[in-house]
Amino acid sequence: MFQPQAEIPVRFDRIEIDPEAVSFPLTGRILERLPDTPRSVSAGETFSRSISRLPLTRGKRVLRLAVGRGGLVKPCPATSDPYLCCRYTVMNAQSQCPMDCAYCVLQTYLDSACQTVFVNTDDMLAQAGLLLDQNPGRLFRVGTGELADSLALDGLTGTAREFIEFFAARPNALFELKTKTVRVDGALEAATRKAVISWSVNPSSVVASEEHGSASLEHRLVAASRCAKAGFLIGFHFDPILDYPESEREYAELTDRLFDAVDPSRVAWISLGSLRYPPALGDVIRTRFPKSRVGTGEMIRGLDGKMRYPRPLRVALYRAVLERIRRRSSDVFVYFCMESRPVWEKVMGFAPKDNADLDFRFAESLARRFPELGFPEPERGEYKCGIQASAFHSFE
Amino acid sequence: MNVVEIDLKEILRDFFFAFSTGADRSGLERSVRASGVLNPIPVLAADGGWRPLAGFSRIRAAEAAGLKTVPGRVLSADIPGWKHFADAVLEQAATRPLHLFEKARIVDILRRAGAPDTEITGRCGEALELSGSAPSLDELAGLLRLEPCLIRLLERYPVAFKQASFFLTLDPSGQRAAADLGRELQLRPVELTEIVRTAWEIGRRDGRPMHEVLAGASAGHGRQGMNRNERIASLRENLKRMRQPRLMNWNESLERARDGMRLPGFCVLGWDASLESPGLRLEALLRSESDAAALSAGLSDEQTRDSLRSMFELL
Repeated sequence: MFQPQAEIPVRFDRIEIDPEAVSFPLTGRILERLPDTPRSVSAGETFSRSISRLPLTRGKRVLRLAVGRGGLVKPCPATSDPYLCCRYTVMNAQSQCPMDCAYCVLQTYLDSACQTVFVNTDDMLAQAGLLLDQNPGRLFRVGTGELADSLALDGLTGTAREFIEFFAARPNALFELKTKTVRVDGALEAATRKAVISWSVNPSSVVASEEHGSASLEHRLVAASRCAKAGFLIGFHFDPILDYPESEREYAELTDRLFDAVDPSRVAWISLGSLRYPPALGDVIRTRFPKSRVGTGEMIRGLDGKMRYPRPLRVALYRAVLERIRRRSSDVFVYFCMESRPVWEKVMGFAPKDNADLDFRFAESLARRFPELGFPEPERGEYKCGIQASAFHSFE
Repeated sequence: MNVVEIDLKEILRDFFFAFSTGADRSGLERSVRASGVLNPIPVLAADGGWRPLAGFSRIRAAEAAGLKTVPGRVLSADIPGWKHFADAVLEQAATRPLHLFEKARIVDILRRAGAPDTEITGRCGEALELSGSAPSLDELAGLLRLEPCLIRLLERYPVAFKQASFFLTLDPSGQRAAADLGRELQLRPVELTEIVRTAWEIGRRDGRPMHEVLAGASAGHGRQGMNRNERIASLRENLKRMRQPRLMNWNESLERARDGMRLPGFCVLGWDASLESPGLRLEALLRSESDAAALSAGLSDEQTRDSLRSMFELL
């Protein structure tokens, strides 16, 4: 009988606190919630030296509380032409993840192996506020799930509620929490439901073999159902879609299970993205997860230098999922993450003209499908131009 | 400097501080036979004998030459042995580049001799090229976990840490199979890593031991009387087919479609074999109006258009 996979509880061997982070309220809150964890205050440079050689497995057990410098609110790093990207905005409230997915790009993307929480949330919200104020005519989708899991540490930080409430008060923002956990209690305490709570999803066999320490699919769907019933919009990210002998059948079944758990009318968006990674990650996967099947399929080097499945294979995988989605919902917004126009055309029958067009289509879908969010019908012209922001340079 | 004549019998045979890959000693033996050992061998007094810190080749050459004694430079017992050894390493590194496995052995020896890691990094960091993105001491010393037969093979060539460390992902039987293949086909580490990695990934995907995959990909080589280069090419091709069967099939179906076209001989039709760049590349050198007409006719031909249609489905 299938046993749901338990999410690994978040525990740390020690806490390292940057001197300038000591006085922040979030630091105090986190320390209060980890009373038995050894902690020390260490200057950034000393600390960086001490952890620079720390392997990931050990580094992930170190919690660093730091003050984030520079741009904490940024355009999603995305990828280069000719792959289309959706012009998502990321708010880097944390970096690293206590879970250990074999395919995770953070294994090579981040300099530091340790779990870092940036405690100056006021600064990041001020940056986000500036960005939103300077661009009132367009809708921003903002999320914290790029360099970290949005909710993995919410039991410690309790920031989900604060972030949801901040962005809900903004007329041109929709905030997304992206997770592989079931830690939604903090979000459910928010005074508003204007936010998207999303789950990265994969068939149970993939969750069990590749997504170490994450919640089981069953648990994720229970949490998604709970959030949908509470009034939040839900997102699902089929990312990364893996190719293996049973993949088409298992992804089709997965799609059915999502819609059994959450009514399609409450799903804000679904993303599809097949496995892709920088070549250097292949070595890391081989070393850290020798039993993983990630990267053992047929891979080619894409035009952005990342390893991907060959295009006809990606098209077949996407078609199988999309066909199943469309059986249950004709208008749920489905998009590709980092895919080329030929793939869009072959699978969807159309391709966004460019990244701005894709961004506009998001806004159009949200305004039309969810009038209760109060987003006005978007004007295409607003999305064609670059973004006015001191917080970060051109979005293009 | 305290130089004494040392009886070869008093030299401890554990060769604790030996790290060299064992270079060709024939020249040295000739020299020792002719002139004896000229350069004293640094030694430490230990266990009632002498423990050399360097000069192992000279000792072996002296034995081969039938000498009874060699000059020894006795090092101070007041200084830890690992410090003398670190100095000997620096001397070696100043005269020749150290092989990756020599570096691994040096780290291992220094640690076993009681040197703290900070001292190893501080004293020998430059000689061991430990700065920047170089492997850590643990990673370097960890290379010695490889099967001895594989180490012996890899030591014959310059080898990068990334290439050598890949073999640690294989189990001992896989490492031995890799060493056998490398010896048999005289593969350099870069070639060996590429071939074995592909075989290992196929095995990982299919749940088969790597040596079985290699055996399958090499089947029939002996019977067909192939030479070394042909065997390597065939092995690579077979592994590629096993690794990317669909991609190869798609490319073959594109080739068949191209072969069925009625295009003039001066046209070359190509595509990106990874199938990632969309479309076809048509190159044609037109020398006259009749060439243009022939190209136009070729492209209008029904069979050519059918082929193009099927190709565009993939491209």
